[in-house]
Amino acid sequence: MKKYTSTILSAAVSLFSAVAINTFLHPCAGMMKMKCDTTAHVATVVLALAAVISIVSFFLKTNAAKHVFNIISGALGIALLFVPLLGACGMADMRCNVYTMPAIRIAGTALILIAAAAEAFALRKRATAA
Amino acid sequence: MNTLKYVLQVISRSRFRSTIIFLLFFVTTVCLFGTGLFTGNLKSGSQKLYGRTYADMIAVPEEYLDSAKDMLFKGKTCSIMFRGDALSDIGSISGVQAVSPQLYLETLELSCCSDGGIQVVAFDPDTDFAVSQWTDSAKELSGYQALAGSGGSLRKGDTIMLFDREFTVTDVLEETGMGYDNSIFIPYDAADEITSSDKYEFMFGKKSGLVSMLLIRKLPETDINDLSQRITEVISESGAKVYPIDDLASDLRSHIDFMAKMTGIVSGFAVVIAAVALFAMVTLSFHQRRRVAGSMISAGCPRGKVLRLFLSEYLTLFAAGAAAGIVLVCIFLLPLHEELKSALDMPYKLISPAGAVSLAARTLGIDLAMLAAAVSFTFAGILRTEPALLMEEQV
Repeated sequence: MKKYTSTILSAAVSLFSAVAINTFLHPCAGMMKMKCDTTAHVATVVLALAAVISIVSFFLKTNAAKHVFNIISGALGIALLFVPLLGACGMADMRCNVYTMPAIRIAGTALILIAAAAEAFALRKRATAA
Repeated sequence: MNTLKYVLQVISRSRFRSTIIFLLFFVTTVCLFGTGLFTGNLKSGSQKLYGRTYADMIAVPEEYLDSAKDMLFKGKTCSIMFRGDALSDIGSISGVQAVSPQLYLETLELSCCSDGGIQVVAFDPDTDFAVSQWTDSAKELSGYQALAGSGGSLRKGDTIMLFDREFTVTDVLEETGMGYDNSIFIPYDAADEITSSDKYEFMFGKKSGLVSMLLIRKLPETDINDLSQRITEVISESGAKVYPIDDLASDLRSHIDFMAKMTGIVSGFAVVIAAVALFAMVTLSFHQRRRVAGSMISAGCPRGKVLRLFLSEYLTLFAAGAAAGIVLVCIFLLPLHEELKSALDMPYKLISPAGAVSLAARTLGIDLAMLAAAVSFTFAGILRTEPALLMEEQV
């Protein structure tokens, strides 16, 4: 994997998902206080943190720091998988269950895969160098 | 080598020192900006306590006072009803400038997905002086038209089903900082139709002309205590009582002030600790680097340039730490604004963008003052000491 591919990918996934779940993949709309709304807000916080982590790691030069940031990004991906447990609507065909929650889970899985791939490539590179 | 390149090299080579200084600025910014924004939002909400209702007094049945206070200041949904026959009597009392009724109806919650029902607030567009302060279209509301609070995701032109009737949203109100942001405002005629309908007899007893609260505005020169006594005498038979808004809000205001003071004290302690740590860090790091400074001056580098290089390094770390702190606070406080508002159980309204910028500027100013205090001691050392002494081994 090229030097910046993982950071660019995870920043793009985080930013796109954060925008998506607040716009065209938004949860159920209405005046009631809904559980899925809180879930979407918490997911936005986690995704924004992941985006900031990725952007900062883009400017880092040392491998140790990149390694730490990769792990944090992966951990945020795992956290994102648990965010839908905060609450969603009871009916399967409601908007949050059809669009928002799957988007959050897909974003979490993508962040984990990107972080794992980056780590795997870094390990292989280190092994080749040795 | 230019200054920026040198600074970045020094920062990347002395990672531990740079990380600590970055963290000190980061923590200070998070404490100052975070608590400042939080308390600013609380105060912004409490300032609306009076302005929101634009009333001096409310008349409400005594037994419903707690529900009315919770609805008025915390936005908890409720249904309060009493006969509004006394309305015309209050209007004729001398010293009363205006009276406007409001009716609060709570819809059932959807147990599958919501944490509560919708608060429907019926108001009379002809006599209203409360809702109209948030939007000009309040006076023109009629039929099945509605105004939406800012907290929901309804937009102008959307429709919403309330008590089997489809209402069209004609406008969205500005943020009030309270649960009213999650309310729907409808005209009194539509509410009367609902309460007198057969279908909702089990909820409203097929009654019309019901009132939850009377908002009363007095003439400027009238004594509020004297007037409230006179109004209470007039409406005593209806079971309602008159309460000055400021008296009802005083507990909440003192609670908000106490909370703001507490967060201010905690934040102050954090800043003092960070300032002392920064001073110690800069002084100690200079002690380690005095030989570098001495070598540079001996090699002909002007003292001003040495100071500029040192200062640039600290300013870069300051900029990075402060920016990271402000971004982190925004990441947490902005998306979770609605959750914080409902969790706090008190008025909470985002301060204006200008207020946020001013707060950020104040935070950066304090950060810079801390840095100036820390480096001035060090720089005085560089300016006063001979290069040979700077390079001398320190045991």
